[in-house]
Parts: sequence; C-alpha cells; structure tokens
Amino acid sequence: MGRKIIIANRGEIAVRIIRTCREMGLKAVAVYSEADRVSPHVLMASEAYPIGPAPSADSYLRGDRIVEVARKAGAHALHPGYGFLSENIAFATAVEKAGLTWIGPPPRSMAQMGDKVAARALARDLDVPVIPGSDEPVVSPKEADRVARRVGFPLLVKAVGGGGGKGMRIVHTPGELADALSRASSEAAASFSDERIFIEKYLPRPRHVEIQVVADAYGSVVAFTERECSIQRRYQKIIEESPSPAVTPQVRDRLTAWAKRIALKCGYLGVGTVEFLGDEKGNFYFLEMNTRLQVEHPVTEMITGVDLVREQIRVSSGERLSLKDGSGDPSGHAIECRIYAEDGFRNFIPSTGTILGLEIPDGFGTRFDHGLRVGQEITPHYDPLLGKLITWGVDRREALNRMKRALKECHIVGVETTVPFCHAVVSHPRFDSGKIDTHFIPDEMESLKENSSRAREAHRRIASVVTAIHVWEAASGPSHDGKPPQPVSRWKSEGRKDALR
Amino acid sequence: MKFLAAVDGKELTFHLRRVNRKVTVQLEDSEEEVDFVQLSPYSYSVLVGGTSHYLIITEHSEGFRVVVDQQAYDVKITDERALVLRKLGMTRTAKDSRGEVRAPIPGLITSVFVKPGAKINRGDRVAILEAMKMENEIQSFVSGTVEKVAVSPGQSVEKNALLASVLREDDGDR
Repeated sequence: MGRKIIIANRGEIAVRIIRTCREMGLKAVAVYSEADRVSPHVLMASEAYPIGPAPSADSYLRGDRIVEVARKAGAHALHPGYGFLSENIAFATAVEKAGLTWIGPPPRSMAQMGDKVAARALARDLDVPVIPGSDEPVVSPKEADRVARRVGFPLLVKAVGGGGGKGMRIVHTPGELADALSRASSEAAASFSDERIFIEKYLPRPRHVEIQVVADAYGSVVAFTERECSIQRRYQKIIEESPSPAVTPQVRDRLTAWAKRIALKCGYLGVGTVEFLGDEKGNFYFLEMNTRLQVEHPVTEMITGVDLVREQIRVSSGERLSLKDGSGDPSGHAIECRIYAEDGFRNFIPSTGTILGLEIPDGFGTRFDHGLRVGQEITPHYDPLLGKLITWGVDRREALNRMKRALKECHIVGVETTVPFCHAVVSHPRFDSGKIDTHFIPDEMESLKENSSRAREAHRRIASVVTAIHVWEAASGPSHDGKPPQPVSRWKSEGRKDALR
Repeated sequence: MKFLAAVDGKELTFHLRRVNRKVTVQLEDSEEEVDFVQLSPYSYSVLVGGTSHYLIITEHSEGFRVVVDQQAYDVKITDERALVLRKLGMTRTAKDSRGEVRAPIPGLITSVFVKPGAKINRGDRVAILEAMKMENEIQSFVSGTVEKVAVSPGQSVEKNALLASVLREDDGDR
C-alpha cells in the first residue's frame, strides 16, 4: 500500500477522509480554492496545494490541475469524495493514466451505471425488478407516445445521463408529453451534456431505500443492511436512517441479494450504493447505482462498526476485503440529519455568512462530521452542506431520542441552518411512526411549522427580556459583575486545569 | 428603565432594575429576578427562579436574532427614550411601515413576479434568486402593496440587496 493520498474535495467529506488516512498512517494531501485557504480540510492535511479561484468550475472541477498537483506532490492515489468529479468518467480515466490509483470503481463500471438506460438493462438481465418504462432512450414524441400507452400515466421523463431531479418532469396527461420531453431534454443537455431522455412509470408515494455494497478485486462483495432515505427536499436527502422501519428480514434478504448481483455484474470495486424505490404495496424496484461514497455512509458505519473509507482505500490498492458476509449484520439503529446552511422553514433558502460560534453536540452515541471552524466564511460557491449529525441507539426509539437531544446541543452561530427544521421532523408523530415516503416534507410542511410555532409561545418572554438586558448592558458598559463581558478562552481554562493536575 | 420588546408581532412592556448582581424584571402582573451572565460575544446564561436558559443573541440590520431552545426569534427592542418619541406621535417612520424584501444571499435574479402597485400577501413569491446552484424562491414577509421593484431578471445581486419594497398593511401577525 502506498503512503500518500490526495483528496479532490473540500468540506466535511474531505475532513472525513483525512481522518481515516491519518488512522491508517497515510499522508493526506488537500487541494483548495482561493476561498478555502483556511478551511478545516486544509488545516488538517499534511500537505495542501491551491487549484484556482473560488468558483468550483475554476478549482474543484479542474481535473487537469488536480492531476498535476497530485503528480507534483508524489501522491499514489486519489480519493474523489462525493459530488464534484467523483462520478466523472473522463477524470477517473485521467487519474489512472497519470499512474495514480483511482479510489473508486473502474471507469468502465462508472460508465455502465452512469447511463441510466444501460443500468436498467443490466438489472433486468439479472431478474432485478425495474420500474416499468422504456428500454431505450426515447428519441421522438411518437415513440414516447407508444411507451406512455404501455406504462400509463402519470409517468416521469428522466435524463439518461444524470440524476438529482435535473432533466426530470412528471407528466400527468398525454397532452403534456411532447412539451415535457423537449424541456427535460434541453435541461439534461445543459446539466449533463447528454440530451437523451427515457420514460419511467411515476410511483406516487415511494420510499427510497438503498443498499451499501463494498467489493474487492477478487470477486467478493459484501452488502449491508439497508438505509432508509425517504426524507427529502428537492429530490435531495436530508434525514437518513438504518435499518429502515419498513423493511422486513425477507425484503432485506432480497434487496441485498439484488445489490450484490448488480455490483458483481458491473465489475464493481470499492464502495457503492444500489438505490431502490418501494411502492405502497411493498414492492421494490431498482432505481440506480451511485458509484461513489455516499453522504449518508456514516449511518451504516454506526450500526456495523465498519470504516467504509478504510475499506474503500484498502480494496482500491488491491487488498482483499477483510469483511465477511455477515459483517453487515446491524447492531442497533442509527439516524443522520444533514445540517445545511439553509432555512428549512423558509423554503430551504440558502444562507451565507461568517461562522461566529460553533457548539458541537457530543456524548454517548453521537457523531458530528463537519468541516467548520469559527471565523469561516460560508460562501455561495459550494454545496450548502455544513455537516452531518449522526446518532446511534440500541433501537430506533433510543437513536431518535438521542438525535433530539443532540440537535438541541448543536449551535452554529452566524448562518441559518437546518438544525431547527431537522428537530421538527424527528419530533413529528408521523416520522416517529416510521410511515414515511419521499413526499413527507411537502405533505407535512404546515404541521411541521405549526408544531414548531407552538413551542415558540413558551420562550417569547425570556427572549424579549434577555435581549432587553443585552441592549441595556451594552449601552451601560461593563456588566453587573464589574467585568466587561469576555469570551471564555478554552486555552486558558485548559491551561489552568493542567496546572491543577 | 422601561423597555418595549416586539417578537412575532406581539409586544411586551417591562421595567428593568439592577440590584447588585441580579436584574429585576417588572412586568404588568409580576416581578421576576433574572441572573444574567454573558458567556461569549453571542451566548448568555440566564437563571430565572432556578430555571436555566441558554440563549444565543446576534444582531442584524432589523434588530436581534435570538435562539432559545433551537427556536429563533426576531426581537426588536425600544427603550424609554424611543418610547417617549413614540408617544409624541413620532412613531411610525417611513421605514417602520415599509417591508423591504432583500436578497438573503448573493446570486442571480432569474425571474421577478411583482409589479409596482400590485397587492401582495405574506408568503407570495417576489423573485427567483439563483445561488448555490439552486433556484431559490424569495417570498414576501409582509402583506401590502408593492411600492417599488428594484431588480430585473438577469441582474446579479449582493447579499442584502433590495429586491422590492412593500407598503405594509398591518396583519397583526408575525
């Protein structure tokens, strides 16, 4: 195994990967844009090199510069994290051409699973159910009509080359079809440089459930207990948990077997996720495979004790999986809340600003993966994900109670965050019951707001009074104990503790 | 000293008195003693009758943002002097009655949905602001009549840039 890994990413995931590198005795090389000179991933890495101006198109998406930096730094392998270039086949190929190890699946598997129509065909050949739809990209309105008649309305037109809701349209009537097709196609061309479109039946209230797999180069694949990811906003996940409250042992066996079959068939290497949609009757269908480390990988780590990044690095350097089938047997339950710089109660509008204060929740069963520092600027250039709060419990009830407790301890001062919104969701009776689907947030928004404003009554008076005292104190100089208000210095108090030991 | 606080569209008047280390709050119907300690430039510990509260207070252009128990409150404080001015009828300055819809983050305006003179309700969309690779719907936080539209599609805006101003109609709501 080599000794130096370059991480082509930033934020919480770069920090997460650097941690495992250090634990494995590997040197971690960071790359940074002009906006990230003093971001935590740069401060933590053993080496760090600039790759361009703040906009990601000029820095974190500049594969050529990153490969150049990797070469100069003498890195032996590259970890792409998620997002940015992690699913870019040309970049993966360039990394391998430069003589570096790509910590990810072979570009061939990425290409096969990145093409949604090819991925559906692969699943179908393996007798894995796929959502009824077109077997080929749909090229003409006439052909679309034919497929539509077969699958029925409502249906979805989707981009062959991408995901995340881009290039996707719901079509309710035959009359809307031609227009939706051309709009989705031009959106797909703009987002993925691939205008091809296909058709899928629209599942009205689906659950999103996914299987984490790890594969080595010797034909071993381990599939883990499913993650439930139905709590989404704008087709992006915000709360995930494992196991799913809706998956029975029989269904679990089926999903993990399907996921393994797909990973083996596409020649997969490293960590990946096979996503499924479940309908109201409990049938599950293959949706797509994400050929990278997922944001929500920690929930699997928390219930299995497996460091997925470590496994990913090991198998990419040609080692055998140390896991056996059954390593994925879960112990307890884990929940993750994504902390975005967004106001969940105001349409998830992003928030920018300077981090003035940071209070990180901890305690038993609590993990907070983040890339934050006091004084850091949250800019509009990058994804608004600040960090992920993960709690573990012996069962769902304990994990949930722990999550409510941990969210109350979490204070990120200076920007709006989804902490209050996540608290409202995990406190909601419907979330508690586990009867969730991907429409939970739009369906329950009013009740989430209402529950949240009921809690407001109690503290209105204390908020008023304390703010008045704050104004009064600021106007009348030093506070009542005769000393001017001062931030508590951790260094000083730690130093004092040491002196007393 | 007398203070008036406005939160969620509700007002509360009280007197503050300082006795040694403690602040006494005199409300219409009661009096309570508050033990108040500032912990950092933004955080406060308050003990009221043995109940412990932890608050985070940050200042912004329109007043204070106060977080108690993961609930955020926008608090406006008016002190005695300002209250006298208010009694003399010099209360409602133009700024008070106007709701200014501003850009919460820098970005690109891609659509504008309002015109001067139009009626607008709280929650109605004003514009689409593209930022952080997402389209963000900017809503009006007041009901009233659109007085001015300060942006047009295709325009880049900085954080806090004025998008539109709305002549407020009191809805007594937050």
